[in-house]
Amino acid sequence: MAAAKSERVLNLLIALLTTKRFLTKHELREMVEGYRESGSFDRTFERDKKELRDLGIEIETGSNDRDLNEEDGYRINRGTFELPPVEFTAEELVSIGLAAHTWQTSVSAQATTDALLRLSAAGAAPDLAHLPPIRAQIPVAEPSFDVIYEALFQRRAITFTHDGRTRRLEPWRLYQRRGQWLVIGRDLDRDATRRFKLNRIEGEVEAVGPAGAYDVPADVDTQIEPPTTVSAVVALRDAPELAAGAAPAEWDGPLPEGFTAHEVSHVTDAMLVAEICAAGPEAVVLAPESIRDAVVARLETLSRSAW
Amino acid sequence: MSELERLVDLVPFLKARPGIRVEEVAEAFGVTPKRILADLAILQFVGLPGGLYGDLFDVDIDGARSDGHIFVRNVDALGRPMRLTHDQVASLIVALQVVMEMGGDDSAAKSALAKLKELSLGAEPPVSVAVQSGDAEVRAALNSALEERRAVRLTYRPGGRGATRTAIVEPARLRADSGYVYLDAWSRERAAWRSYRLERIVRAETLDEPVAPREVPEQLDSWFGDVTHTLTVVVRPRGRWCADYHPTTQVREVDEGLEITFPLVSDEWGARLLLSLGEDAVRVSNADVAELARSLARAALEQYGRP
Repeated sequence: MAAAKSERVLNLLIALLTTKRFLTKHELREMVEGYRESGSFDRTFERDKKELRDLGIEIETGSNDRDLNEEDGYRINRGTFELPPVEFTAEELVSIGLAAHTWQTSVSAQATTDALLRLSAAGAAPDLAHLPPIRAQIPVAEPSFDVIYEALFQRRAITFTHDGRTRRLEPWRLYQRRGQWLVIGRDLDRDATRRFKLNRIEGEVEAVGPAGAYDVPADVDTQIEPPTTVSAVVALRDAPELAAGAAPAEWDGPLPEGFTAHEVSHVTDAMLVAEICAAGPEAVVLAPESIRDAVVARLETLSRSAW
Repeated sequence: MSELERLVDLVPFLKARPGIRVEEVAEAFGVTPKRILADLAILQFVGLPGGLYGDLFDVDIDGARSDGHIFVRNVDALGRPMRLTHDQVASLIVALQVVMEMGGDDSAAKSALAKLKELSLGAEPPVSVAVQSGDAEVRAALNSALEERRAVRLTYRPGGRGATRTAIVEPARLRADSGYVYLDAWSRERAAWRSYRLERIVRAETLDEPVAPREVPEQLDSWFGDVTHTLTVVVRPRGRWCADYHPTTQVREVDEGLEITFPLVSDEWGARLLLSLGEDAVRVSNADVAELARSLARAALEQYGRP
């Protein structure tokens, strides 16, 4: 941006911030340095307003007096523009200091830096001098992260290639599981909820269409972690993956020696069977019959497998 | 950050720190000192409408050029920092959530988080990170050992299963990376740095032995950072889920379905993957892993009284 343009947009910002009444375009043309000389005032003014709105600044439009049939004008509400007063305790500023370098790369690292500049200017600088030996890191290795992150906050659709097919997705959430980034959203071509692992996206991700194009459903969190609806009573020995999410279960029948009964739950029968099989001889299904039979059948196939 | 955004953030930042050095400002904003001087040159023509002396910002640009200290006056029109944008607050909230998973006493991080949420008007960030941080008691014991600089007797399960081991270590740091929290510690027995995943530590007893601080290496490996072997499995379409569930190094379409290459943490990990896939795994690159999976399946069948 040319210096003259930054200067003009800042002067426009100040004019809109310091006025109580709505200022018409013509008033602004007279007041703001740089507009009078402008040959294409209308276009320049529109562009400048967009610059301010892109920073997240809300420009109100309205009329001072409807009865006089006055032309619409503009102003910025200082209360919504400015950071409200914030105060953090010394301990809180240490926590924020620990959070300062958690994101190392990616646009979210830049967002943290920008946020801390504003907090510092408000007298709440993070304490980087008294950090305990804790290193919180959120690595982002996936190149598609940045575009998706920005589209997410703007609520814009994205398009990308996955498994050789072009996908169009309204992204709802970016989430990290087992160190991997996934995006969940509505697949526009299938009109269904879909999730994609970022490192399986091929090539570039592009944001398409207007901002604010959709609403994120209120139940997105339960779509990320679907409720577990099927369960089995399983005798467990040394099966930490299964035991982690399981509840102790009552079991009157005999148990293999060294095993304890647990209630293990999952989203689908197939996933439940897969997880129980993965524990090998450390997990034995007690009930129901259907899960027990499915596990035994799969183990028999596995024991004879030709690979 | 655009020039305009930097200028808007710069004014309150400079106002809050009279006499700050050009280099310090450049570092905080991630630009060159020359750029900051150019920004000051723009700001001297910015101010209240009218553009007269007394309306404009008072920027001591000659002073900044000669002795490197920046003084600005009469900048109240832009004197308060801007409200944080949604993505700025979100990046900090997500970072703090990870910090909270690591600390012994997380009350400061919690209250800082609550204040930040207020700044974003309570909106939930559309980004989330899940971290495995193990047992709260173990975490608390490690935090206090770190604070008091004392050695710890760890009881842990290597690989997360099987018999426990004990080790006397000198804790140096807690580190969250790729979805797990690690204790980076000097192992006395091995006379080397070791990283222990917190959810594999069963008990941590603080010993009455002070430890001398040691310089801990910046980078210690993550759980699959040091894995050099890989396992390639061809799966039928129904087994595609495992490409999104586990870390992968390569995924490509083949006639039968997908050919997926995983970092191979251990043969046992690979065998458990095959057990969870069952007949959906068509081909396997590693004969040892395949044989281990078959023998685990046979051992499991014995538990059900099958030959």
